[in-house]
Amino acid sequence: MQEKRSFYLLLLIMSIVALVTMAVTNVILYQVAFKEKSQSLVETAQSQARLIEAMARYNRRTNRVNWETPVGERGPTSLLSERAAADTIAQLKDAHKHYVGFGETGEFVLAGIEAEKIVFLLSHRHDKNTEPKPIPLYSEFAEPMRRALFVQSGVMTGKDYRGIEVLAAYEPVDVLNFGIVAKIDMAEIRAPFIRGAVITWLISLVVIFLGSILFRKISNPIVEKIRDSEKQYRSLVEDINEWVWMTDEKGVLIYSSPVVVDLLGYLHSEIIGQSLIDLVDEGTRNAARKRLTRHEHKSEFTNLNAHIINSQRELVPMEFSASPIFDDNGDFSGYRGVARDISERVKAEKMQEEYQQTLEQQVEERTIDLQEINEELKNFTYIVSHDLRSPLVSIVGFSSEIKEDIDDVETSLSEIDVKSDIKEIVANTIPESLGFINKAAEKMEGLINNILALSRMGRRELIIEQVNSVDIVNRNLKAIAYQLEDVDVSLKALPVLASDAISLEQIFGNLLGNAVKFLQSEGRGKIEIWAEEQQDYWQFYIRDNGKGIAEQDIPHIFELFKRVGEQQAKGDGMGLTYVQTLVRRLGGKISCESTLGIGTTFKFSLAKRIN
Amino acid sequence: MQFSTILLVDDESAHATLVERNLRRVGFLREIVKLENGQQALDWLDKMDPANKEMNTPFILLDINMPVKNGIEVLAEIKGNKNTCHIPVVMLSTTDNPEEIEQCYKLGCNAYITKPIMHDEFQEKIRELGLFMNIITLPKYH
Repeated sequence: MQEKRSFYLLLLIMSIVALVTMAVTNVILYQVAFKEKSQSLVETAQSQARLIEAMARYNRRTNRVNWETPVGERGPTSLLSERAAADTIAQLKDAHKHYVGFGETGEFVLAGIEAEKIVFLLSHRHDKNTEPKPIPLYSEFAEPMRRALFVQSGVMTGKDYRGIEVLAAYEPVDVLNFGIVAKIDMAEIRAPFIRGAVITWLISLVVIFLGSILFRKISNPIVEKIRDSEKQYRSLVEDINEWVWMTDEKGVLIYSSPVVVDLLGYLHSEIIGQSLIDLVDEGTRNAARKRLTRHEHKSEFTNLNAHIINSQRELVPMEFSASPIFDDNGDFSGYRGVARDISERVKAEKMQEEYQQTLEQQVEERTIDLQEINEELKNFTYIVSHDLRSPLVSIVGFSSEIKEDIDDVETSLSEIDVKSDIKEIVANTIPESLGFINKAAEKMEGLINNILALSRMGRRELIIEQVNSVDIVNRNLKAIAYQLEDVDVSLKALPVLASDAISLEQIFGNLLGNAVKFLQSEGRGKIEIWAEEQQDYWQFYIRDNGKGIAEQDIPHIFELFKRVGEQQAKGDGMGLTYVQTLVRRLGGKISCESTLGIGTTFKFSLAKRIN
Repeated sequence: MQFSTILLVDDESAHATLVERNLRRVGFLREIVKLENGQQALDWLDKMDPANKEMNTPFILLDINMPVKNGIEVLAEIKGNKNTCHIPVVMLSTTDNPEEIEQCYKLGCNAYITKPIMHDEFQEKIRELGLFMNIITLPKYH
């Protein structure tokens, strides 16, 4: 709309300029033409006057005055002889008869004064009468002639004898006391200019019209392009969910993107002219004032948080980023920046904080639970080490007492005569029973000791240091070297890692011990040990070509006191339970793959960083 | 130095009986007083005649897990009292918890013996204990 108006205004200005230029040109040309015309009229009038004078003088010389004619009847040329004057007039009339005049309306007029009247001597071009009527000497008509008759010479515009506006050169004719006027109608002089002006104006109007159409056609795409790009930028600024703003050097808002309505509830008209500083929460208002106005702070800032008062007088947490603006002189003239509503983020942060607290609380509760469980475990250890041992001491102790007593009884019985089956009981059955009791107690002691060892191991403090796994493996192999005579052992890529040496020693000791223990009785044994590095841990492998483990047994091998397969080899069923406990303490996992008759691979990981 | 009396403090009468029988078997002929808890032991020591302390000095075999007052508390009281600190105390316990052992030695026990389950070991320990009692010299109060 605005552009259309500008376009038409432009068009109007253009037309006016063109028309004015043409008008001025026309006027100048007209003036020049007018001047030339005047000049030529003057020359014509003067030359005619001189010619007539010459004719008159000639006629006077050749004609005598007709003295018989009374003076009153001698006519206006009383100084001449009537005859001479009449001759001259007659000659002029004759000449005039063959002369139409110049131009369309140009003519000579010759007149004299007679009885307070201007008497025309020649016929008029614009009068059918051959004898034009005289006109009064003093009237609005025939002003140029009047001047000529009053012996004036010059050029003027004025009304002729018909009362029509003419350009006229007037000249007195001496000797005859006539006046001559060479005149042309002003209309005739003006006509070409008026016509020219009309034509040029019409042409220029057409040209302007065509030009403007062309102009529109060319400029429209440009305007469209500019408008599009402006629209793009505008939408960029206005459609994003960030508040784009600009302040002057006093912190007063001079621009605000429309998103402010959604963000803060202010109308665009309300926010413009409002001080941004006054919108900041009182607590940080002074800091904001310094930031936005003080000279020493004329620097960029990013992600400053402030609470902004919205139209409901509520505080909205916002994050500001802006850079200062400087005018052409380098003087600070305000800030230009963006702001975003961070309530959601603040809310999320708060929630996260709460969540964190809940989590911490939960962790604390769990830790307490765990500590309690740990405490219970300790008690369990105590129960095992005391409460289970204590009855065993009695059982074993008294069965031994009985054994001694029964020995005494047996000795005594041998001296007296008793039934042989009683002797048999005393000599064999009771000691045999006591032997079973002792054996069972012995086994139970072993179990108790193992449980104790396991629980103590879980509480042993780890000493994390750089450990070379090759050394540990070699040490373990050396310990069982006598069993390795028919075994090929290969080590590959074993790392130095941060771990607990004692645990590692026990892990490798148990696994290598198992590998050797369960080798096939025939053929050469083969044990491979290697490691692979992963991002957070080392993966170790120990592979043997031993007897292997049945598929259904694999899930149970890590269970306490569990011994699987044929019970040919010695063992307490503790080894792998130990190993699993140790690997877990070192932040790893252990698993086993095995095929009966082919061999077993134990695979365990050790964390690079132990918590 | 001969001890007139052995104080056998153990709530487990079976254990006390085993210890008593084995002490007799290795030749200890003096009085053996069997008490069932720590408090009884402290009460017994209270009644001891301080004037005749050289004559009455007992030898204490002290179990740890006992009702009323446990062995560690009793040990602490005996060794913390200048009238009784000279009395030799041997901890005779079923528990073999290393922390507990350390604690007992810190409190000033003269020996810590874990009751072995296997009887021959048990007998051997008691025999050694008898020997130990015969050669022991009383520590001075410090």
